[in-house]
Amino acid sequence: MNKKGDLVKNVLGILLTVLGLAVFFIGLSRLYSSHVNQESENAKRTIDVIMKKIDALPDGGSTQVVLQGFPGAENWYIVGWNKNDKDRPNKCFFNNCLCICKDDKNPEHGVDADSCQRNGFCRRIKLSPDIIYSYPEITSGVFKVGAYVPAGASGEGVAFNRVGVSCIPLANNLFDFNLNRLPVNYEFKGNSDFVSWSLHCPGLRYS
Amino acid sequence: MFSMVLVKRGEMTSDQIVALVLAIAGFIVVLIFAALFYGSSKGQDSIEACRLSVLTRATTPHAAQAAVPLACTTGKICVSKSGSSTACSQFLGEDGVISVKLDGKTDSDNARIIEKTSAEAMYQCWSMMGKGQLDLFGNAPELLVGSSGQATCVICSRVAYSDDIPLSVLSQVNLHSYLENALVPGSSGLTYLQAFTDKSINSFAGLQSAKPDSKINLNPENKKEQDLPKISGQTNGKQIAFVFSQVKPVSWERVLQNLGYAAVGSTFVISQVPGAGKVASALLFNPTGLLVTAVAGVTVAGGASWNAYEGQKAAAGYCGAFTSPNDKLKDGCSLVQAVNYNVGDINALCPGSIQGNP
Repeated sequence: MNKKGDLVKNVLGILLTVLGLAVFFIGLSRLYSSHVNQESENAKRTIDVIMKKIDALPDGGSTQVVLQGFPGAENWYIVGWNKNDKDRPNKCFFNNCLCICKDDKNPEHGVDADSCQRNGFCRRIKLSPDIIYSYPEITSGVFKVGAYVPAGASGEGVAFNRVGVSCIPLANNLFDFNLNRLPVNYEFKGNSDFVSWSLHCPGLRYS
Repeated sequence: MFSMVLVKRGEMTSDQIVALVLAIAGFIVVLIFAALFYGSSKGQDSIEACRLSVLTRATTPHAAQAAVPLACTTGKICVSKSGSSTACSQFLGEDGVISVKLDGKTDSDNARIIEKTSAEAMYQCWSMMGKGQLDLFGNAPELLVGSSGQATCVICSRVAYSDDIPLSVLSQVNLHSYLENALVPGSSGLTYLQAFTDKSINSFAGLQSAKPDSKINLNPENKKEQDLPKISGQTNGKQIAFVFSQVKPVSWERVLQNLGYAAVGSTFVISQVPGAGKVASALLFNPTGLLVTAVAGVTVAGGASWNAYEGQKAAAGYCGAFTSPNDKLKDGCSLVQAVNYNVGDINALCPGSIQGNP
């Protein structure tokens, strides 16, 4: 006797098994997502909010954004990369881009394209501006011990009047962030008090 | 001799077909139910996740507390006439915005809707954070930001008001009155005031008179008004935040005394009647444990502008023993209040750090 079609008798059982496995794996994925690195998720959310606000700006428009920090935010910074920067992260491809990157505290290079490539989230800006500026406005201050000292400065304890650096450190409370969509470039300016020079930013310039 | 070999193919019987159809239909129903449940309860999911993380952190030894993240995401509520979640430009680009529609027949009805939204947000914040009696930050400030004695906060929710809401509605908002009279949903007949304090308290006046010689002294150091810390009062586009803050002052007993309380481990509610001149607009902790007032520096230009905060001055708090795994560090004060959502005001209230997710 060659009995075929035994599988038909087990269809119900198979369906129930598939349903149970599906519920199990869905529950497992939700459990995992709730424990995924929350700091990275918050950083990603921050850059996405900034990008949406940029997209909503008309040409020549400007806005001030209040951003809420998060635990660990003091280790992150925002930096803009131009499409002509030869050292920009690969994530930017051939576009201008704005990245939120984690400072890996490496005294050799500090914050740079490698940091952004490894520990950052970049969003491409596809429109025409050639230059992206991102910097905190600092009117006075003193380099602290351990900070990167640019060529020409005499070392720690150097007072400066005005410094522009190409990255904006985040804070773990609230901070202001100015977005200016200028005719030939975008300008991102952080207003937070810059109390730590432990970040090494590309393009540091001072006067 | 030959044998007949019967070849039976897998022909399904009618019973099997019915069972199969029922199984598939049931599976589809379960999927639809799950999708609806997940969609509608997404908000509840995040609240419960926050509550669970609060409990987990509170019961974790202090040495490990900083490693337990608070899974509390700041809620975003957009109040508008249209009821659209995109009506509030304050939330442009942000996800998870809940919309509240002002569909009352009169301005007064709509003002009640705003009060209801605020009261629920405030109470939910208090409830979610353990009603102020859980030690949430332990020595986390020292570990996280290297500071001690400074208030650490969670921004529970932000409430923004769209531009299509007329001033005639906003000017009638009085959270103080709503807390006194409205019942908390599912609370067995308690008003918000009773839920924050005690079921014997029926009014703010009763709160004062219940305490002998009660007198609120919000300026215990008798500082001159110009020397008191200032809060800007800037509205940042009509947006307030309900903020939970906690601190371990040197002497929380003095904090209670300054509020006119003699009891140990007391909850309190403070309210200022809108328009009553220069009254305390927000409450700040400082490391020495004194409750210091902040006088609003708001100027209302020609009566046409509106400070979202004006009608929502109310704070609830608790000072006393926290539920903590560490016996030595288990006293402190917690507070929930509405604050104008801007950098200056929030950071003045939360010099330690802000926990949770934006």
